[in-house]
Amino acid sequence: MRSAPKPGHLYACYALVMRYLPALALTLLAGCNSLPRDPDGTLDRIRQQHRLTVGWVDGASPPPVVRRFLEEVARDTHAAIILRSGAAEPLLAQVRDGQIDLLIGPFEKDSPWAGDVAFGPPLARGAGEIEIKAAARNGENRWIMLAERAARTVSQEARAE
Amino acid sequence: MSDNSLPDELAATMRKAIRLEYWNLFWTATIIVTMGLVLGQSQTMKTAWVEDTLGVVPPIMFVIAAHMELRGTRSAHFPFGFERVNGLGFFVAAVALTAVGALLLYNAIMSLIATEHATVGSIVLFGQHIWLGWLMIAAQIYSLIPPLFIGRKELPLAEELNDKLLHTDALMNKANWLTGAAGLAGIIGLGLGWWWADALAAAIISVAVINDGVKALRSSTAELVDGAPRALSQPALSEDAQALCEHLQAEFPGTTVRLRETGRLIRAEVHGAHSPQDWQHPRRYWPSEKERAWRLAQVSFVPPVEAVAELLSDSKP
Repeated sequence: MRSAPKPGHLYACYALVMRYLPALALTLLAGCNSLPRDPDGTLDRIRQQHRLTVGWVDGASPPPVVRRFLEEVARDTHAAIILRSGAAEPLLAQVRDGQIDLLIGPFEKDSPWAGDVAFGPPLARGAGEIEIKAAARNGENRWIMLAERAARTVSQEARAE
Repeated sequence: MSDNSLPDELAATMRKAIRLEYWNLFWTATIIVTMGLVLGQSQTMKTAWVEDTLGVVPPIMFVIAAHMELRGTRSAHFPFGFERVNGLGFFVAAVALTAVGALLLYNAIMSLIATEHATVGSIVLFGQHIWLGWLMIAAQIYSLIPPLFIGRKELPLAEELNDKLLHTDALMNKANWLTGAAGLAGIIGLGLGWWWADALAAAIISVAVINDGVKALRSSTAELVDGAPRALSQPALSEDAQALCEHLQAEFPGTTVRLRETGRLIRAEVHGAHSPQDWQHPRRYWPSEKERAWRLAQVSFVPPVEAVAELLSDSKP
């Protein structure tokens, strides 16, 4: 028969936890800051090279919120923006392959490209199910986080998402 | 003897086990909701979530089987009661575990082959942008705690009831820390920028699910095809059944003893022996602890072939 833990033992456990709790909390806080990292180092590269490649889908005039969004991203990364424009499909393929850091344009809410690239929250809404939003390379989580934060900073729609 | 197929002395333990399984379902539901809220695109999280969702199959099957055993009375259509419903539930749970485990492993391997990079973005919580991975880690840690306690409580009840379904569930719950640790490693690895960590952790969890499923499948099919009674936690023959077999062979030398298991009960056939003149209750033949004698529900005698031949020749005109 197993005996119940004595109050003394419980106090010892409690004391042990309380003793190391601040160190554990500090470690976690430090970890909070360093994770996530990008598997292909997108954000580090942009910050080192001060250059950010942005695609814009042809045939649509960007609303003012897109300009504010890009300014916010450029400020966070200290990078100059190199703009490319073209048809959506080839540009999306370039985002998927890491040739473009960010692609902005009107996309369907449930875009068939959702599994191939990471869409951010909507910057603005178009007609019907169309949203103006940014797409980044899948898995570059720190870079995606930065783009999401910038979108939420400048857009009410992104904050409401 | 009660009208249902459950031995009287097990009724209280069975009710206790049913109560525990309701708690198990409640805590598992909280885990499913918590994990579901932070799933994201992570393969590890999806696999862990499916595993947790699958975790409700054994307790649900147990509760259904237990209610039928407790309340289902013998009838013209079911003269043996519902003692084998538990075995059927065990089989259903085993098939579900194995099939979904295989599907999850396939998905994980495909993700690795396609070098898929899982996207885990951020959310705003209390005005702060937080990486969703941290919430996934918190959800994974939470998902470790209830099964650990429930598994510990299930184990003695499963042994007392000789319930394979409950026992499998208990072992799965107790071993849940392993899949939880794999899940945590997957998310942390993903955070460190190791894109393969997510799919690899998912594959490890899937293999654990398949392993549980295959073990359960072997035991449950053995029971359904009238195999010899199996041990609670593995497909090996059970020790108490082997002791019973030896005991019956010693009592009726020169005979063949065949044992099969119907749910938690054992039924024995002694081939090559007439029924003894002094009729005995089956429990009298139980060789070990008398409090477990309820395990032996039936001992039948099949006379030697010569006796049948004599009987046939006597009956000819």
